[in-house]
Amino acid sequence: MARIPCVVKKDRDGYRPYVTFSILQPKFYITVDACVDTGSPVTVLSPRDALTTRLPLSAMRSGPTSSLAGFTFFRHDIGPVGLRFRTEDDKLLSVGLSSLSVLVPTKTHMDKETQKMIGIIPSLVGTDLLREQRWKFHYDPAGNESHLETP
Amino acid sequence: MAICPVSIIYLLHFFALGMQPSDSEILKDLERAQKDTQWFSDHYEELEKKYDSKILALRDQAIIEEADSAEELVSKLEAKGEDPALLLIEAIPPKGVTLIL
Repeated sequence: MARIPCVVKKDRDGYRPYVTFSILQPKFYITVDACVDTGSPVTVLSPRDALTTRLPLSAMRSGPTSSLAGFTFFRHDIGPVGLRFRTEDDKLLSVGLSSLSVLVPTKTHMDKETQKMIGIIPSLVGTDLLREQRWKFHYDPAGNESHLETP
Repeated sequence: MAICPVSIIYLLHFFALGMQPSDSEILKDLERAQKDTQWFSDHYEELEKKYDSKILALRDQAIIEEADSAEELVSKLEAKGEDPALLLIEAIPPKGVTLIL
């Protein structure tokens, strides 16, 4: 069993649990900080994190659509990816995720205000990763402590 | 002959594609990002006063760039020769906006 620490991060409205990990794919390598959202069935890369990958986002306007934070996105599947986590005892944990989706706004022309609002949406770790890996998610909001636990 | 910093980044990425980072490099990147995210949370109240509605790039517990949108931030970072994929990107929502996921 290993523990992956999450940071209970403060924002204007309160606190949310985030986990930091790296994504390895033949076309890119990035490190992201994603909100652990057990209300999301899928793990998604936010528009702002997707921009840093240099993937051809304009050619990725396809896939099922999802609504998030009041906006609509294509959920473009980029297929399987490798994920790397740092455990609390400073070891690298490598796992695969069978499918990662990139959120691409359905709107092609956005005003500055909309761009700004879309930019605040974080990447999400959904229950797909937790189910595939049989991980448990622990969150103590009152104690500001959170972690993922492997079998 | 002048070389555009953006070209250098793409050149580095071209070489990087065939050469994945080693486990120790990934571990180092993750450790730095975890420290940065904790620092961002610990300093949120002072950062929200200074960077309201901004998208921020962090490295080594400091803000290295700010912008009004993610697109603008990536452009600014690339112009400086930084690789945005290796930085922690954070956002301060505008006042009065609640993000319900």
